[in-house]
Amino acid sequence: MHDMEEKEEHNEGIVERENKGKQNMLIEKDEEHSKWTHIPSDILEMIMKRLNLIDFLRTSAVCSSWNATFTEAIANKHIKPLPELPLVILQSHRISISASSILSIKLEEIKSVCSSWNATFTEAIANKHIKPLPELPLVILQSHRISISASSILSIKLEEVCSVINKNTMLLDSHHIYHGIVEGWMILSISLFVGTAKIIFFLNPITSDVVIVPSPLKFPSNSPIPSTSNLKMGRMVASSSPKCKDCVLVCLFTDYAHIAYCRVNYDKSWTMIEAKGDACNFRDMEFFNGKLYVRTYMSSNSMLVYNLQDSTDNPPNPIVLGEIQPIRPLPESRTHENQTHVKGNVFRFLTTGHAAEELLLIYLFMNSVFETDKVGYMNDIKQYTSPPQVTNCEVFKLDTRSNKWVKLDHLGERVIFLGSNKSYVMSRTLLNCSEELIAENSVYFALYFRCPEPWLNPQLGRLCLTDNKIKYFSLEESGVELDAYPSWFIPSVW
Amino acid sequence: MAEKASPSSNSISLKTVDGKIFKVSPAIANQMLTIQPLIKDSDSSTIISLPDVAAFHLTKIIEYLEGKPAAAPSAVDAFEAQFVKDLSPEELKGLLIAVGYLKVNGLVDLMANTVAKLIENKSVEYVRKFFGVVNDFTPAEEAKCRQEHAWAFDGVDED
Repeated sequence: MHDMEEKEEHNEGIVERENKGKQNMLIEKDEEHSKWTHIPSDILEMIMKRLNLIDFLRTSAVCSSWNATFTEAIANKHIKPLPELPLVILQSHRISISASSILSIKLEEIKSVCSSWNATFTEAIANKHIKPLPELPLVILQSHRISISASSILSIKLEEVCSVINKNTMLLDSHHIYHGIVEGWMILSISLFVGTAKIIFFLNPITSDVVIVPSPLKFPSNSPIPSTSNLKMGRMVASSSPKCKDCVLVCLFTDYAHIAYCRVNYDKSWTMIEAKGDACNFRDMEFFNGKLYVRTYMSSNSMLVYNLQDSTDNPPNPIVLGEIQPIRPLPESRTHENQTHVKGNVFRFLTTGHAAEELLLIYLFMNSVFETDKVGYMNDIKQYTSPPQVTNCEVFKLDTRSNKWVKLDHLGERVIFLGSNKSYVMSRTLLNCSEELIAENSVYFALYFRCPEPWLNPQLGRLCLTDNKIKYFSLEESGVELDAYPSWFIPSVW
Repeated sequence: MAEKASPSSNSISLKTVDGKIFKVSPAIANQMLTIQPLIKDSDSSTIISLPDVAAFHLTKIIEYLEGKPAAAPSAVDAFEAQFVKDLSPEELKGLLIAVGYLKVNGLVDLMANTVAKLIENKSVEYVRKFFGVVNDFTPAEEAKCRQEHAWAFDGVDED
C-alpha cells in the first residue's frame, strides 16, 4: 500500500488539471460555491452553446468570471447560442410608443415576447430619463422593436443621433423609418424636412449599438425628380453588418425606378442607379455572393446583377441574368357588379438561403375581391370585399452554373419565413425543432396589405406546400395593436 | 470483453478525491478521454488519482458507461432520460464538473444538455442559486451588464 501511495504521488502530477483545482480546495469555506464561481470556462462554454440567445446573454450578468467567459465568446465567436426562429415585428402606423410589438411563434401559438413594455415606458417617461416623443424621435425606434427596459445606455446612443438631427432641422415625418435588416442590425432612417437629406443608421437592438451612415441620402439637385414628389425610401439591403469594412448599403425607392447605394465606410455620397427604358423598373433586390441581384419588371422579367463592391463605373453596369420564371397560370381578373375578382395574383420575394449558399425566388399566389370603383392613384385598392387570401406558393432556386431558375418540388430541410422587408430561410436541422413547432415543407408568411377602409390586419400564417393547407395565427388574442405592418427579425449579438 | 472476465489481472485503479479506489476495466477507463494516455503505461499496481472527482460521481460515471445500451437509439434515449431523472440538481452540477474534467464519452453532451435545459428562461438570480455562484459584481457593474443586453432581462419564468 505504501508503494502504491508513492506511485499515486507521481501520477497526480500528470493527472492534475492545469486549472486551479487545488487552489479551489484550499478555500475551505463554502468549497462548493467557489468551485462553481470558478467553473472551468470549457464547462461553462459547453452549457452556453446549448442555450438560446436570451439565456446566453443572461450568463453575462451572473458573476465576473462568467462575464469573462461570455465576453470572450462574443469577441472570438467560438461559442454561439442555439439558432433562433425569427421574431415578428409589428410596426405601427400610429406613432405611439406602445403600439408596436415583437412576437414569437411558439408551439403554434403567438407569444408576446415583451409584455412589460408599456409599464416600463410609462415609468421612463414619468422619471423623465427619457423625453417624450416629439423631441426624441428615436424613442420610436426603441418602441418598435426593443425590449423596452429603457436603459440609459440606449438613451446615450439616442442622444448621439439626436444631436445630429438638431443641427439640421426638426422632425417632420416619422413614417418609413424602418427599411430592412442585415444580420442582427435593423436599417432605419430619420425623415427630415422635405428636400433635406435623410439620416440613415443601423441599430442592433440587442447591444444597443448604433452605426450612422456618414453620408446622408438625398437626390442630387439636378435630378429630374421634383423634391415635392411622393418619392420615398423603400426597402434597404446591406451586404454585411455595418461593422464590416466593406459593407455596402442599398436603397430601393418607392418609385421603383431608382436605387441608391453607398459603401458605408468609404463613400462620401450615395450613387444613384436609374432604371432604363420605359417599361423597366426595379421590384426587389438582395445581396448574394457579394453582388446585388435586382429583380426587374421589363417587357420580360429579368434579373440584373451589380458588382457594387469593386465597381469603378458610375453608375455601375449590370450583368443581365436570364429570364425569371413567368407566372403560370396568369392572374385572372373578372369584374362583376362593381366587384373585381382577382385570382392568382402574385407576390414575389427574393432571399438567400440560411447560410447564404443559394438564392431563392418565391412566388406567393393569392386571391382577392375588391370594389371596382375603390381603386385610387397608382392602383391602390381602398376597399377589399374579401382581402387577399394566400392560396399556394412556388419556390425557385438560382442554378449558379446555368443562371437558370429551377423550381423546387420540396423544401427539404428549408423552412421559409416570408415578409416584405426581409425574408429568412432557415435550416430545420440547425433549428433542431420538433415537428409541431416547425412543420415540414412549409412557408411562414407575415403580410400586410395597404388599404385604408378599413385597415386590414396583418396576416400571419403558415402554408404547407404539400397540401396547400393554411394555418393562420390569430393576432387579436395576443393583444397587440393591429394597424401595423409586420416583419421578421432574428436578433443577434454580432 | 476479455478484460471484464478477469478484472483483477489488468483492471485500472482510479482514486477519487475522497480517497476511494475503484477498479475498472480498460474498456470503461478508455472512455474517459482525459486519463486515456495514462492507461497505456499503467499496470495492475498503478493508481490514477482524480483530484476533481468524488466517489459518488465516479460511481455514476461507471454506472452510465456500463449500463448504456449498445444499440437502438431509442433504448439509449430511455436509458439517458432515466439516468438524469434520478439525479438531484446538486448531483447534476457535481457530475457535470466531473464529467467535463474526465471528458467522458457521451456523458458530456448528456450532462451539458440537461443543465442547459434546467436554466432555460430562468432569471440571473435563479442561475446563481442553481449553480451556487456568488455574485461578485458591484451593483454598478451588474447594472451595466444588464443594460448592455437589456433585451435579455425581461419576462423570465418564475423560479
